[in-house]
Amino acid sequence: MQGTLGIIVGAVVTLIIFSYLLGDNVLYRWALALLVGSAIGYALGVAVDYVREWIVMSLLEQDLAVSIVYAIPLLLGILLLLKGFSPNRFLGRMGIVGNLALAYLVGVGAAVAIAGALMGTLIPLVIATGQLLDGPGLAAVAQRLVAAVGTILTLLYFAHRPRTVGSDLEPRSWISRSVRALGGAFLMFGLGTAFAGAITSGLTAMVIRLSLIAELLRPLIGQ
Amino acid sequence: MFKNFLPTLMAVAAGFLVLLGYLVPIGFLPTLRQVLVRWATILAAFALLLAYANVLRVHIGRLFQKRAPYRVSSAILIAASFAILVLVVLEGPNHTLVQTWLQTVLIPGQSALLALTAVTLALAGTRLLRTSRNLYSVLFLLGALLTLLAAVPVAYPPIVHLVMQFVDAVATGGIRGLLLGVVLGILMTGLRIILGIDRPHSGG
Repeated sequence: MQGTLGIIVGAVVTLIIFSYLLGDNVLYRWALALLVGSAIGYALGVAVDYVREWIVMSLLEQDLAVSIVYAIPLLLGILLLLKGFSPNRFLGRMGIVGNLALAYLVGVGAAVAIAGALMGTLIPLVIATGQLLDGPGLAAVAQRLVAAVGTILTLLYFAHRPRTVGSDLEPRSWISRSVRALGGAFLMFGLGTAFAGAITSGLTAMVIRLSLIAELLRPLIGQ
Repeated sequence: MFKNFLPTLMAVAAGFLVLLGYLVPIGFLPTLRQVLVRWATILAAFALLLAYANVLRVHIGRLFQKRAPYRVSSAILIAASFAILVLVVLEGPNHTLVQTWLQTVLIPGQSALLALTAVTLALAGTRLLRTSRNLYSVLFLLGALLTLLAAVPVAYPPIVHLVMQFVDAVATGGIRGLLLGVVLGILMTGLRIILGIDRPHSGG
């Protein structure tokens, strides 16, 4: 019973969202508000749950040094919350101290991003591009060569963007213009395939939703 | 002091220690990195709280405005977020009610929105040649069309397979170049922050 009710509710939400295809309407906006509200509430609930666990662990800790390790982020968090107050009030004026917490978050975020970009993307991509060139068969080597040349030309596309001198464009050599044109061609073709990938994912989601609705309607129409 | 000097020092020190923990995994550095990253996740939770307060401020303000459009939407958003928040905080994220809500409302709703994106993207694609008629637009649509055709489960002749493999190679080149560009951009931005050249935390 609960399963059927769940499917009905899901189907109704789906149909309300699909009603946008007929034009922007009140029901669609309400459904959107419901989804956004639910997502915000869930994300914040999980975050609060995590912080609560951290506080409990800090209270249970007997060792003073470890307690301090637990207390530092909580203190920084409270400093961060000060930034939410209006600057006209006392707590708001203290908000400048919250810059410390924000700076910590930005510093760690930047370091994690650099490490992730280096170890997760840059090095594996360079290795994969290098490996493209060795393999059996002329056709396979040609394909890999095309991919490697495409990668280099696409990177050069960004390096050869036109620069302005005053209000005019800086004159560029024909080599620079050609490299940029070829790189742009590879880039646009690649973006086209990514665009098609996004459409395919959306269509897959649509097929799943519509088939669930069809399952629901099957007993009603007697098939 | 709190405006510029100390925050920059904090960002540079925290960034360097975490980066060292990743790149030089010897001695106490990896453990220190783990502790520092966990602190950052706790701080991110506080930042989320601050963001929620801002969402509430905007939408509660809208509720009390006369003739404000989308008042009901704001009321639904506040009510839904508050209800789920209370439920998750009191019962935990794995409680049956929370999971039922996710399975029956949130997941179907979000996949329906994703499905809607497919239609919107397809429409935008058909309008592309009307708005900008150049070689790049043609190449973009050609890439999209060929990829969509390749996804159709039809027994194509071998020559088409060969062409498709070259199409794949060209697309791989383009996307890989783009990804490398993005990564280099991330590296430069991150390094500027860690070296104290950019200070987004102090508004500069």
